[in-house]
Amino acid sequence: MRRGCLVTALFLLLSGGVWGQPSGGVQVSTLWRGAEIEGRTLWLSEQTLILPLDTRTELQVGWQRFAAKGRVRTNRFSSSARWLAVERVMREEGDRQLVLQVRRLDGSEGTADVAEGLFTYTAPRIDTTSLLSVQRSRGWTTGSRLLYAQVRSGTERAETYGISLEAASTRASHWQVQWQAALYADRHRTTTYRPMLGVGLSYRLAPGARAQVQATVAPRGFPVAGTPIEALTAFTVHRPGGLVESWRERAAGYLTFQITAQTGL
Amino acid sequence: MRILRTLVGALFMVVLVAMWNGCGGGGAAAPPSQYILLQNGKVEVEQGEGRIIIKAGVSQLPGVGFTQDVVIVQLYQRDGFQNPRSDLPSPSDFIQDFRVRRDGTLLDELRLPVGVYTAVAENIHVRQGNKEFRSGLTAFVFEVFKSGGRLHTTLPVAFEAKFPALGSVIEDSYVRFRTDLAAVGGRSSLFLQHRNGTVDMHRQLEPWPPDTNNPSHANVSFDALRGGPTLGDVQRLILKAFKP
Repeated sequence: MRRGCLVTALFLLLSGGVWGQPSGGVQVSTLWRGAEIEGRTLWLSEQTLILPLDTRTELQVGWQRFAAKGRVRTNRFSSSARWLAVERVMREEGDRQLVLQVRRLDGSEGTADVAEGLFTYTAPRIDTTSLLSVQRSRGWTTGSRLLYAQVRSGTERAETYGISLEAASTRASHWQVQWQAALYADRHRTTTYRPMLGVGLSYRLAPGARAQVQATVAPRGFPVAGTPIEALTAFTVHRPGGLVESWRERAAGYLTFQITAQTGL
Repeated sequence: MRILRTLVGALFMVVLVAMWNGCGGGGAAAPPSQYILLQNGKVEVEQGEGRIIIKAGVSQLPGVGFTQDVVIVQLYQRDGFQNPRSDLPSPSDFIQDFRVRRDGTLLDELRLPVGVYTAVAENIHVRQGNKEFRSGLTAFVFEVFKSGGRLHTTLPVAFEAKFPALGSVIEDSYVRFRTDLAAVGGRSSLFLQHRNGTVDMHRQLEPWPPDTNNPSHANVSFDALRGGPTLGDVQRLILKAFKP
């Protein structure tokens, strides 16, 4: 409750500060992710707010909620999370930027409600540091990202190292294309390497508003952390069984539908 | 910027080669499973004047073990753990202390009328070889009830638990106990709270042996699911058994 008040106060303070900023704008987005693997389904919703603090720094806050349903439809694993990130442009040379992002995700306890009983798993905390190199040229923005994420949950610890290449068309048209290729080294007792691929298409709905559809696949399962579904996959450190482990142990993928709006504050 | 690109390229190649060599795959490996086996619950009773007498010297509290020779256990009226996650028995429900040996054998006789009772033992510590199981609080909520003109209890007459040792995966562990036949059809529950999560299971007391016309006891079995998590320090282990 006290933490909620603090977040609200921080939000109001930052909103007030943002009002007077000369450039950038407040960005809000809401997204839904869905997946189905062998009759098990995942639904995840997320709301994000991006607040520019100055011309080089922005603050991001987000809330996630997800539910994974088993083959027996009454079997269910659910949790929620909130995250806070600060992104800062460290260096800028013409069309090139070097961006540092520090992010903390605090999950809530994971609850598995299955026929055998009610099982809970300690909330994970994920600290992620990533370095992004961005280049804008000829209608495309390309980037490469180095990422390190540390997961702590109860007595368990895991680490994920990641490298990704990203590109997005930035032509002034209604349609834009994005793709991403990433490789993760996942360390929890053993080290496992997991590639991930993503392709997306976005459409400009109105000035400052876009809708995006993206498909993401991980041929060897998703890593513990470092991806947009880390609030779910972080629970795999506890080996909670079929519902959640499917996303880590075998080829998996999900679809994302996102709506983003940017105000000119 | 050129240094960063070189660094990114080099790291990419290293990871690519490592993957090509077939490192890893699949989910996280589980730590080796180790268990503590406990077979220590039993109860011998006599009929008293409107009270059941749980005999000292032979009756044992289930699922406990201590490092001290003599331990004090608290007995309360009513279910002191209605919400097993957060509740503690109310001091106003306290009835008496009684002493048990390190293996849970009662040193004091208990004389109890019909009702629901909560026995609370603290600082359980069982060591078998280099494996150990610890619980900050272990409670057994049981009932004394009248059936067929006699008093019965739902305390175990035989108790067997395969607890995971600290740091072991919970899978393949279980808690099973048998109690008075008159308790068949009653409810039983197990609640475990440890550093990596909680387990909350509810079962019905079934006739034992199963598939016979002449069962001798009521029986319940709580079996862990496949997988994790690993057992962290146990804060609470609460077992309950109620009449039908």
